[in-house]
Amino acid sequence: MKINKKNLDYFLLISPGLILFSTLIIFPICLTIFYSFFKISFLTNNYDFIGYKNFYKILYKKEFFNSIQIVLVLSIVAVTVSNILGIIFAKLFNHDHKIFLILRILIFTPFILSPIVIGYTFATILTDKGILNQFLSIFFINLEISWLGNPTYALVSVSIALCWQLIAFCTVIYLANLKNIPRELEDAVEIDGANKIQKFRYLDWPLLAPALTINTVVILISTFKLYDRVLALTGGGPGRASETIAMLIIRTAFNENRVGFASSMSLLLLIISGATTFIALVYLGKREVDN
Amino acid sequence: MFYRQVFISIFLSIIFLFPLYLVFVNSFKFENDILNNPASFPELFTFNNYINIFVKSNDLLSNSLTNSIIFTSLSIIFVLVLSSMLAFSIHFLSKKIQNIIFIFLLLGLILPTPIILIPVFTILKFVNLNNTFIGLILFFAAYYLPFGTLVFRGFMKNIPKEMIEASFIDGANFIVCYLKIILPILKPASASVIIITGTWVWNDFLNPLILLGPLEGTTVTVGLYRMVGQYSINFGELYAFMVLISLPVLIAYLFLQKYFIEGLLAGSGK
Repeated sequence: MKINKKNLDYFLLISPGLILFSTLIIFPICLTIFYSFFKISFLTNNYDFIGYKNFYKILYKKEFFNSIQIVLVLSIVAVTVSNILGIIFAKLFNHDHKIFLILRILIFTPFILSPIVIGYTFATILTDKGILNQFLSIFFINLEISWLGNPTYALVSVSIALCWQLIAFCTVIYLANLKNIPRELEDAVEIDGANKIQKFRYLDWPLLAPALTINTVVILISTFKLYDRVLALTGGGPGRASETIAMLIIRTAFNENRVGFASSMSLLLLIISGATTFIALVYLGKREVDN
Repeated sequence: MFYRQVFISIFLSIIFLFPLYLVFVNSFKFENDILNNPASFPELFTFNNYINIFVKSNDLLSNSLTNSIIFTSLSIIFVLVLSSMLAFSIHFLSKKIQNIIFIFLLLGLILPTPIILIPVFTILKFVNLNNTFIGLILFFAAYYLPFGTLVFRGFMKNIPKEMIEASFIDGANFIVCYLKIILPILKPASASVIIITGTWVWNDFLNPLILLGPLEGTTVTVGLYRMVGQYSINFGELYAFMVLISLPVLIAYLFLQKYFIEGLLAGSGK
């Protein structure tokens, strides 16, 4: 049967979603590109065309590269740590007993919580007179690490808060993937006399490729938009030691009112995050097919 | 062997979930007990922290809770309706156009919001919807549309083509077919979309902070941020605040956790 797509009723179904999506997601991407060649102020509503000058400025200011570096370091740490611990948890919990059913439900809870709640939770644990240092002082005498005040430790703290939530996510995705591995295959490998490491290397690891792809991409996206956790934990400090790229863009646009400059940074972030996600998808996706 | 696995699993879970335990337990303690003995059960049990945050915050907490409930439910409805309509109607386009639309939807799915927040702010300002809930809801609807559409599309594949065609032969138009046939079938998938977008919208911080601005009400997450910034708040009260605003999503998750995970897999796997 031929369906006439020019009907008004068809148009009424398909257009609202597409129109809304184009105006508030696709069109803004185009505007970001447009804005990045202007000098804009929200206060005076002035739009002055200044060409590529914004990008020129980015090259000469350290703050953008500082933030990109922070985000890249965080994403490498998060991808590695969350995937490894996610697999460990998933392997442990991959059992039909009731206890594991409950553990599986509980382990996911960090992912349900708001990142800003998680930020404040870890802030109270990691602050100078906080719970972690109090706890440590039971064993060591006056080990006074300023987890949030020291530039290096601040990044460690941010990674902990970030990974905590992502481990929960990774575990659940790996668990779902593990369920799809046929029991017979595992038995066959065991009969062949493979030890645990070999079994993991040649059976689980290749078959977990789809979960690895999903997890890595989700981790990359969440580090690129990392904002609330860091705001609650360190506020980007000390200095700019933990200021993520999202924080830098928002600060430049809405606190310093340099909208065009912030847009050019957004454009660069779009390119960097798009390229990274795309490479991860293609590379990890190819791995899935190879197996 | 089995008991060793149980033991290790429980031990690791306790360490992993310890921060949650701390927040919950300490929200019922007096400040001195929190500082001296953070990890123990409350010896002197108190609801003072919960009462204090309601009194201290000058309606900030109660306002932000009502606001969040209203705009989260409205956002969910928008996402549900728009994405199910799109997932259904996209089916009738040529393969080529379908693929183009899906590439754009995928782009939206992996796009970090800070990138488009500035233009979205100016667009909403242009149509006089900045600092309004409608503006924020429309933005959420657009931002979570790709996710909803992907989940629903996965479900649409299970609907036999004959069923849709039969309804057209019976004289139904697209809207009747959507309402009478598609919507009832999409019910289980709707549960996933509701719980997941609901959680994301409820928990979101940056978008409400920028798009609602400081004047027009506040949401639970922004409320928490303001509470810490404006009022002298102690650990116990902070914990109580966090427990209160996390409770709705936690309860929803416990009841609908099956749909939560199914939806995540459906949305991210394809």
